[in-house]
Amino acid sequence: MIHVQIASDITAVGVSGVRWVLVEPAPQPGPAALTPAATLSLAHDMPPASTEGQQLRLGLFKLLLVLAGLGLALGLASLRLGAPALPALRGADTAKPALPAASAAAGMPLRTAGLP
Amino acid sequence: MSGDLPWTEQADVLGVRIRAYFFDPAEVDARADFTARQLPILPTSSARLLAPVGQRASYRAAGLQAYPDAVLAHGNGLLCLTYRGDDGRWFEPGQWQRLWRADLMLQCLAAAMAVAGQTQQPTAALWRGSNLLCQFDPSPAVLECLANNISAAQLYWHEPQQVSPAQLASFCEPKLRVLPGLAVPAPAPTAAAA
Repeated sequence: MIHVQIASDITAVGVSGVRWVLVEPAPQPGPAALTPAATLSLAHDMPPASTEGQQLRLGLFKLLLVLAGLGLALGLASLRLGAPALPALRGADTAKPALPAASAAAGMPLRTAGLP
Repeated sequence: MSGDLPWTEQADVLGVRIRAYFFDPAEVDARADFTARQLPILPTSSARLLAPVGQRASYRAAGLQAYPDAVLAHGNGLLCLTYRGDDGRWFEPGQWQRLWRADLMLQCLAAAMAVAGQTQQPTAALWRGSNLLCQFDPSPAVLECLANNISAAQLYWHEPQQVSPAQLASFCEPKLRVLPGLAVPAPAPTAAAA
């Protein structure tokens, strides 16, 4: 605030009596206060964005979209079909029991039906 | 009458106490010294010009910028004097209020506010006409009106950087005329001997 003192009287040797008031400082002109011409000039003064930077940002955005789609597809498949059953993902406890050995099966006597 | 200076009359106009001093221009205008010529009520060499005669310095307080006709150092404060722009009208003692221009008075006060704001010194507002010297003592309501309407005057006049005392005065005069207590007709001027 700016202190403003107005003398209420003058004498032969100076001023006497002071009335004072506070004046709000002038706000600095911001972008909203700029005229269209000033904004245009400001825009002209700004350096143009580089094309390489734009392409890099676009590529990253595309990659993010692909990853998001892939994740969404895997999630939906897991919900509908269950957890993935790849052999590499199987643990020792979850392995299916081995089939009987062929030799054991071969050693069993075959029963034949009696002849009539 | 306040102070030790021989003011002729005083009156309250639009919340401002005006002290008036009538002089003989034939005698006063012939004086060589600037202060004695423009401020005939003051003793000679009691005030000192801050800038050479004819050069108007710029004073700024917030969004208010003024180029007063003359700024003088006077003891513990400053005098902000307006003497140009006068239309040469002749004021008669006892009847001068009929010809009085309130906008000119507010303009002088606004210029003094700019000087006081920049220099941070108490500043008196004065106006010198053809045969009349006036000193203005504003009421708090007038000071607040001028101080609080600088931004609004800037918007009104489409002046984003600064507003002149004349613009601020013309913006504030209608507001002061409807302020309670200031809208009443000013009393008749009182004689100095009263």
